[in-house]
Amino acid sequence: MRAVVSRLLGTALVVLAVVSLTFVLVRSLPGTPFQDGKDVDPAVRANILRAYDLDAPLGEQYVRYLGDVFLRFDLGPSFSYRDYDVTEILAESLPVSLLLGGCAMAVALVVGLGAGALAARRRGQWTDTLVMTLASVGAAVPNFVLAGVLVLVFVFGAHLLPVAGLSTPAHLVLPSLALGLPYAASIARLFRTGLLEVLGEDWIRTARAKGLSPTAVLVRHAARPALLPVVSFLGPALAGVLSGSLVIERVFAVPGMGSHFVESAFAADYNLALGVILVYTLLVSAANLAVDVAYGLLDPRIGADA
Amino acid sequence: MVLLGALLLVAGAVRLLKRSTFPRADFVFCNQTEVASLDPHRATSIPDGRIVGALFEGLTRLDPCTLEALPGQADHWTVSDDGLTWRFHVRDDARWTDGSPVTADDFAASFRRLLHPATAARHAALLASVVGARAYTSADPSDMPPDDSLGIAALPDDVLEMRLVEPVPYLPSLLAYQAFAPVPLDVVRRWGSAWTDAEHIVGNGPFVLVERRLRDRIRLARNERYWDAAHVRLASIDALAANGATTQLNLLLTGDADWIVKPPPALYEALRARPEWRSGGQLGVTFLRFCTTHAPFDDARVRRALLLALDRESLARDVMRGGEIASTSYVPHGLAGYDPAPLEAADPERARALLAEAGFPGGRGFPPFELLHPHNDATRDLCAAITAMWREQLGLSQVTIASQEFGTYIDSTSTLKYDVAWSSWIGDWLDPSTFLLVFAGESGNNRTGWRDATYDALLDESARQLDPAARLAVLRRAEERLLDALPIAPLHQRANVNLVAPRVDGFCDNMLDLHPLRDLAVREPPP
Repeated sequence: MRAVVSRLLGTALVVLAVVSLTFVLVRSLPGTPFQDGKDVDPAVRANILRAYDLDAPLGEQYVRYLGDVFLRFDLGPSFSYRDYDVTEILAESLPVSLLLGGCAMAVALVVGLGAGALAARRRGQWTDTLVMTLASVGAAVPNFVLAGVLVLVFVFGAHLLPVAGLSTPAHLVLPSLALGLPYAASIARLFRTGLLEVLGEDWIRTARAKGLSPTAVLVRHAARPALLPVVSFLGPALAGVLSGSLVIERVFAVPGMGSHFVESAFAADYNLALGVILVYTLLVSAANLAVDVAYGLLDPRIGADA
Repeated sequence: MVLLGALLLVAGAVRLLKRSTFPRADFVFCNQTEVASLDPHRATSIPDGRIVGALFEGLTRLDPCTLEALPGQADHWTVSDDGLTWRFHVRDDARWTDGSPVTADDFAASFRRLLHPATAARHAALLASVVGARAYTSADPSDMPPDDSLGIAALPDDVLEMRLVEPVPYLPSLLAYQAFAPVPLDVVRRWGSAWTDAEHIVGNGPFVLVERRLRDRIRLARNERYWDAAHVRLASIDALAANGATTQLNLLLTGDADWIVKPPPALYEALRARPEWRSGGQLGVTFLRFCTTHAPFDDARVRRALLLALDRESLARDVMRGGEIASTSYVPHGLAGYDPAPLEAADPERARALLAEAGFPGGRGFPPFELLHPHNDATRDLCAAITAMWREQLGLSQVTIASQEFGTYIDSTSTLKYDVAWSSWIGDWLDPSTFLLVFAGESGNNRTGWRDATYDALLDESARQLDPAARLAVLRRAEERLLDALPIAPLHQRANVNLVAPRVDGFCDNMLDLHPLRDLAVREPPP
């Protein structure tokens, strides 16, 4: 418990540091907000800067921003979606990102663990070779290439699934596969390695000697300790799925948060960029914390004070 | 971990399912991106205009086939002999979607809001020719000049009067622009910046907003209260925010969208033969800017040599491939009453002679220089072809290509930190001045360092000219002056490329790439 509290305090410091650094970084980017390539009348430009508090000295903007965010939970107006506050944008796009990320993680876990277990069970046979070859390819192929292949096969080839958008559950299938399968490949390799390591242990031989079938040994005795490397991979994987979804969101026109992550920086939409980074910081911290807690649950030796 | 994941999944799914699903709209199009705003005074881009133009209507509107100004909320208008006072008569049957009449007062108040500094409207400057407008927009918001200092007044019988400081013969077509739509000020005051939400918004255009899902879609339905509803043929429309060029193409190919703008240029060859392909000249020009403040580009002979060495026909036909038209002038052809000044045809021989005359025979001694462009694949290909022509025709092997992110590129050109830069300008109104004012000495869009007293004097003279034909003649002299000095090298008139499903009716190609949704129709039910 104490460990969790100190981790939470640490997270608060990390958030403050990330927000401050981002505040300075986005403002030092080349390009200015509301720039579309055409110069505007100086009076009009001054009015726009005033309307968005961008005419104040940097220090004053910073103090005001911190006050708005941490005391009033107000992330300010977006510069690029002018009918929305950043909070409204995040409220619309975060659930979509979480849904897509959750489905992608489910794909990664189900496919990855299944394939890893199969390969370990058939170690050295052609199934093992096939699964591991596919996993190596899968981990190396970028998700946008995979997305293109999936569209070709399932949309233009088999006419099975919708091509883009997000209005029915069927729309989720292709983006989840494209986003999740590369992680499934890594998980399969980690789980296979973990299982093979565990399967060489004495207590597994004991289990087998009791007359348990190889599958039962695998599922009941070997799986839990073999999951440890997979779990430590899940933290970064979850972060990657959430923040790396921008290409997939673009390809499948999914209105999630990933696109805001990059586009807000290009559009010099300071408030939106800061808001998105703040949310990602919180998500990644939460994911890492959850991984640490899960570690303790899986391996009693690690204990709660890890 | 599993629990957390499951929770997030459920939360997301509930949120998603709570949103109603619609049957496919009569007409679905890809609007290229999410709109910046539905507030006519805050909207800026072409995608914004497609939606704002469906929800609101100004005093006039444009015929998509001829680009002629047609009656909109005003059924007729008059102009005084000196061209300085315009009177627009608001039609009797103009209604807001809440049923109340649209009045001349609504327009006067909306134009004041557009000009007000607190509105911070990007397009306020478009009304700069109105009496008192400049002072009003640049005033301190806490110390505003009185409303009657503005040359905008609602007269009895629903007449809106606009008094100008200089003639603007294209005012009726300018007023068709999205920024000049009226806004329902009582609604704006009641809801603040949330007034454009689907549950609050009140408009006066041919369509109403049914739902807006950020970065997903905007659903529109026909406005039965619109004065010309009988001629609006689409009952429902979806504007998709999908912004990937390939994604938009996929949506068209699967029949999920009926119209997309600008498919990926790399696929032009394959797409050109399809029945959906539509392309035509745009009110826009692509050109090279020269940084005229440093050697050797301060020498007009060098600039002319670089222009004449380029085979503009081949660049448009073989490199751009979207229907671009090689420049024979700077101002594009097609503006009513204006005959653009001629630009010299390519002449590599003469280009070599000019370069030798400037002290660089065969390109020898020419300092290394960069051709700068904003990062984009199609632009990079064009720049590669240009530099290849310079190497081959002029022996300028020392040229390299530099690419910068758009904001950085704007900074570099604005501060004159470049040698030669790919550039482009899209006109804002249907008059040559929208192109020629760019290179006025004081213009923030000039970005070449070129400043010419005669050119500026010609622009001033054109603004004072009361006779429309004489005014265009003066503007032509300005263009001749520009093409004589050549701070720029025009390359081609830009092209609009649209892919439109054959079931769509009423789609006209025009220079503004303007396709009002009220004029579109579909011939058969969706696939």
